[in-house]
Amino acid sequence: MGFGICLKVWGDYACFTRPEMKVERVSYDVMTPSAARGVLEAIYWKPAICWKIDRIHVINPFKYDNIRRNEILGKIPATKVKSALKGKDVTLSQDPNENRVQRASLLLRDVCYCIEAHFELTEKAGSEDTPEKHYNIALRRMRRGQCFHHPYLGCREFPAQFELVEGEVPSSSHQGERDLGFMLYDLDFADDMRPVFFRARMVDGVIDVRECIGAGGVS
Amino acid sequence: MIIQALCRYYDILDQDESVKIARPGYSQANVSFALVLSDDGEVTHIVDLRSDDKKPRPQEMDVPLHSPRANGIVPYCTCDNAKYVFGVEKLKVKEFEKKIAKKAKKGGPQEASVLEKNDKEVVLVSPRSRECFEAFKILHHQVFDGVDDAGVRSFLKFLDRWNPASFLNHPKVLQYKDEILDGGNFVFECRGNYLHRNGAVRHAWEDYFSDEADGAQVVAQSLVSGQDEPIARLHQKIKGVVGAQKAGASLVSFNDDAFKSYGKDQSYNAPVGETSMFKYTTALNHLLAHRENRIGIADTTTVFWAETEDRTCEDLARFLMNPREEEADPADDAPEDGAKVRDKKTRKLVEDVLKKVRAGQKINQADIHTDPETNFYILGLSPNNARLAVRFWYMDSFGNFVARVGRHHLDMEIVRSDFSPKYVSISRLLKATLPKGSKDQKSNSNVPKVSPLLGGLVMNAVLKNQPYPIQMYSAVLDRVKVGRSIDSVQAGFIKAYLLRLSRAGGTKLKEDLITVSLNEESPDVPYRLGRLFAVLEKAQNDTNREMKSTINSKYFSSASSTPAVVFPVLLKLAQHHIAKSEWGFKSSQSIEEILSGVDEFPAYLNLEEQGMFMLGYYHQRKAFFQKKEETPVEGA
Repeated sequence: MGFGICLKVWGDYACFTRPEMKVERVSYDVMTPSAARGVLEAIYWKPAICWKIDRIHVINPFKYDNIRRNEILGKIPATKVKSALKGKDVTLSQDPNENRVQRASLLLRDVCYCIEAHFELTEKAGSEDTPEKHYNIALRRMRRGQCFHHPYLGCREFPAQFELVEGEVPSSSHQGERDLGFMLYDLDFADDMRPVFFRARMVDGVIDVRECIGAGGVS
Repeated sequence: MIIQALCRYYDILDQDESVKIARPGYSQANVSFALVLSDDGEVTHIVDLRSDDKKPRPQEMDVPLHSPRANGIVPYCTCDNAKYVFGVEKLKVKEFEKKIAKKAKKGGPQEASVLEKNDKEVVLVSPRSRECFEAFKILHHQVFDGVDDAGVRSFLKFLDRWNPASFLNHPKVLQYKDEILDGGNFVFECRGNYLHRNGAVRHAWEDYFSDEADGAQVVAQSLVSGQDEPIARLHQKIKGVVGAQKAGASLVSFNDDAFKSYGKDQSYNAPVGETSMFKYTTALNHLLAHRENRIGIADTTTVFWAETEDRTCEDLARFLMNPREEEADPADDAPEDGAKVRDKKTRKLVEDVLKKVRAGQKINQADIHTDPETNFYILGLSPNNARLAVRFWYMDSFGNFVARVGRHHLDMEIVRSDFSPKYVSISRLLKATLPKGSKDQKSNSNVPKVSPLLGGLVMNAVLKNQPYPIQMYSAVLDRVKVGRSIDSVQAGFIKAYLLRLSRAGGTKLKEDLITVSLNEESPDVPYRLGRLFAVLEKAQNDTNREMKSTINSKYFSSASSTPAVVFPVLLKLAQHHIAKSEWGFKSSQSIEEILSGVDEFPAYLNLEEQGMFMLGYYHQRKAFFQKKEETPVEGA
């Protein structure tokens, strides 16, 4: 925990899709821990480390918006990709004009979060992988605004801007306690990609993920 | 969120004795006939349960669960249609030839026996219908073997004895032959009791149902309860959303590859426990089936509910969102039925609440007869093929909701004629953007041509007490310009829009200049110009009533946007009218009075100023007609 970081992310739109309403998308009220993990991994990740989200500060008030987007129905089948890898001649594109579908989304407007997180070393860490090293690389990348791919807020279409918070965490517009219900924590990739949910409780704009999970009794 | 709230509402309904809602293992079904069985299992009578209407409608009953069935053979317990109950079906001749006769010719096993045939239809025992009947029989033996009850015994006897081939030989059946085969459902009656309501039957069914549910299932953490429990693979369909498929659409479904993640199939993509699934679908279907909880806003079907058993809440909410339009004469002496009395009470309640909102007081328990802290929800659904999309979702305390919608009605308040509605429903407000008298505006058709986005935006503004969407405002302005007239709904909205905008600081207009009725003191130039236009129009009208083209029809649009171009011409024209008319001196007096506050005609009016222009025009016209009660209102 000594190597915790605090990253401020913000953007015009965000959609942290609820799994039960992911076809006609409806967003959670706040960023999910797995989305926060995705943001951090976009900036810095190596097989030797794994990011753990500690706290999410919700700075802006909740605002929703309703839009419709053109999307497509299908996926490129994995088997086709495999045969392409073997050198066969297959098309790997999709024609948006053929299987277009319009889907509605209820999404968030004008969001701003502060992610408090730390990382742990994984089994893949070698002898030269020290926490100090990775911590400093991460800090440097965040200060400079470097990233592997651009971090986004729930959907790729909603890019996130970010900056490292090195002083005070900005104050939140939320006061008091608020129960946000069950929220996706993350997927347990070790156990057949099982989704894990936790009961999110926001106190004065802060969701203490570790505490919530401890209280809720889920892994 | 949505699903959780619906589950909680199911629990409330479940507690409430006065509400008919399906318990787990049961569902509502439309039943057409009851078969009365003797102790020996003979059908002694057939009772028609349908209504006496012109087009008879079946009765809704609480029966053992009718799970979704597509092409497979799935018998239902103690309530099913003729194919399953009698093993007989009716086919059109064409279908019969395609399906059965061809196979028979090819030398396939000819099992179908035709009972009756005419030009159009064939009544027969097909291999499939025979299978259905057998499945029906087997199901009931599974459920009821070992149940010691006279009714059950006679029912099983009936099943064992019944021979589908003898269908038409039965005198009672013959009587209702055609209706029976139309696909309606049957229930059974033994010794004066419905079989499906019999205690022993229910008990046996519930045992069977819960055993069935425990079978090989995926267990995972449910996202509703957070507990590990059996997960529903398919969710029950939601019925009653306007524009959706008739058989119902799903709120949670994954019918295309693009919707799946991490290799999960169907509803395992979103793990919802079986019980939670049952609860939320049943509660939502219940809400959609009840008029008190449902309103249509543009293409969105909206349901709302308060987390309480108390009905006053719903009456009040309904009235606030969708006020009755035919409320013109409150002093009506007609005999009052229950609904009207309730309506009157609600209206009184609304008046009291609005008084409080106007005074800026907090709404308390005594005002709305309910705890203002009760959770209140609004869910807007619109269909997209076999799926439902959530258009908007609102949750807040009931007190806040009432205060906010009350604020909306107060902002919309405007001087009006006796026959226009005092409170305007949201859907009526949306129709203010449509051509007057057009088919779309008049009809209550389910798919009005209002822009689909406006409904959600306006609702949002009302519920959050935010400025109204500019899209709606410009749509109304355009409509007024093109229609060259303005009614109380449009004027009310323009007023409300400007009022909220100035409150939010989005315009230079001062809040106290935007009034309910004519403000002769107002120094606002666009407002004065609007009034001037009304006066000029009247001057013309006083002179000559039978004109085809008036200054209104020619200049309204340009006067409201580019006054400097139009008004000098109009004023010149007016001199002729004034000279001719016996009321001329009055007109020139008003023109003088109004122009005293206008230094020069602005070259151009922006959207807000155009609104003020129209408001001034509307107020001035209303003021003319209020002074002289008898003046007929010409095509305003």
